[in-house]
Amino acid sequence: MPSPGLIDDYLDELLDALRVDGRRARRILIETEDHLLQAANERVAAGATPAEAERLAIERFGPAPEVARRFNDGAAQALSQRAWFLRLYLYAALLGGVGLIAVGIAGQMSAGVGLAFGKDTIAGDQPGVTYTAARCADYFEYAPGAANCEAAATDHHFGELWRNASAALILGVLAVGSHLWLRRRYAKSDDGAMLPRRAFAILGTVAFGGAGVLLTGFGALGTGLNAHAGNAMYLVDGLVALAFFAAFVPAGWRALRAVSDEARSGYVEAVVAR
Amino acid sequence: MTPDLLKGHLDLLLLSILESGPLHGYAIIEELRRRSDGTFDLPEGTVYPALHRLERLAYVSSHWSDETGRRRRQYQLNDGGRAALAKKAGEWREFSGAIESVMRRTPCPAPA
Repeated sequence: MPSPGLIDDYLDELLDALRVDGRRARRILIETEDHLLQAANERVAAGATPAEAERLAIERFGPAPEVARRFNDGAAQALSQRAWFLRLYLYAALLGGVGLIAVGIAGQMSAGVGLAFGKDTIAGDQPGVTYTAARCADYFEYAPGAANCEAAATDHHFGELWRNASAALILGVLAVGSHLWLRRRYAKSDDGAMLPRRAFAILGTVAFGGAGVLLTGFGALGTGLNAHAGNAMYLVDGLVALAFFAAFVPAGWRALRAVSDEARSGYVEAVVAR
Repeated sequence: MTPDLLKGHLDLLLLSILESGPLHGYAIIEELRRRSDGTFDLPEGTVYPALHRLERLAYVSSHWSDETGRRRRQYQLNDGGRAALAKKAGEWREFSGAIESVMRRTPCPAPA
């Protein structure tokens, strides 16, 4: 019976070159291993040495990158329209949902800060803003007990911010929930597989990192110049974005390293092949 | 025969082989070789992606079996595959008949 040294190496090479979901990759490896072992066993029974039998079985099967390419092409071509839409929705729901949850959490935290330190730190208008009589009337209708037009406007903006943040949070939870439900529902089919996880991790890291730096910087700068006029909201938003950034960093870093390794090994293969 | 000549006909061959009953990949390849008297001796790794593609097209279905103590994927033709086989076989007969016809016919005599 052949020792599966060469076959193991071949399977490793095949796995490296496959661009299919985990379930299909596992199935391909099991089928390929079974085929190669049977082919090698038959050659051993016919008198070949185990190493020679394995080598011939692998040679008959074809180069691993070529076999993997056929599997990869087949997976891409046979994907149904429904599967494409499902993947698009899954991706959009995850990205949008996480973003909306971040916005919702930031809004709720801002509301908490506003209640603790004054609503004008979150939703105050810029100093020097003038209000027309009509706008003032609108604001007083919303906040009849306010001391003046500026306070009524702040109450109005604060309420608007809280409602929008709550809506974002609910929508975000629904979007992520629907994503998780659909992923589970289609986990056993190819339709729900192959989400671009690396892209999600990298995009999340860059988006939350960028938003965190910009918002925190904007809020800090504004606070240095003027403690009111909603600067605390930018600070809170920035800090929440940085917290999400910290959560994304490990996955984003792994994804970047994987992409970089692949690009490097592709370059080396291209150089070697020249 | 070079694999290029088989391009486009592999689906028909695989569906034809599975028409006689469920088989696993290795047996399908052996049957292909046996029925063609060794003419269709293509790289074995090309058959599995084709089987997976046929399954995605709902022409065949597959399941794991472990009759030999090892897990094996058994493929079998389903209704969609039978319909596709009938269509492809008809197209092939028409095509090969036309080729034969062209090759057998003698050229018209040149006008005097």
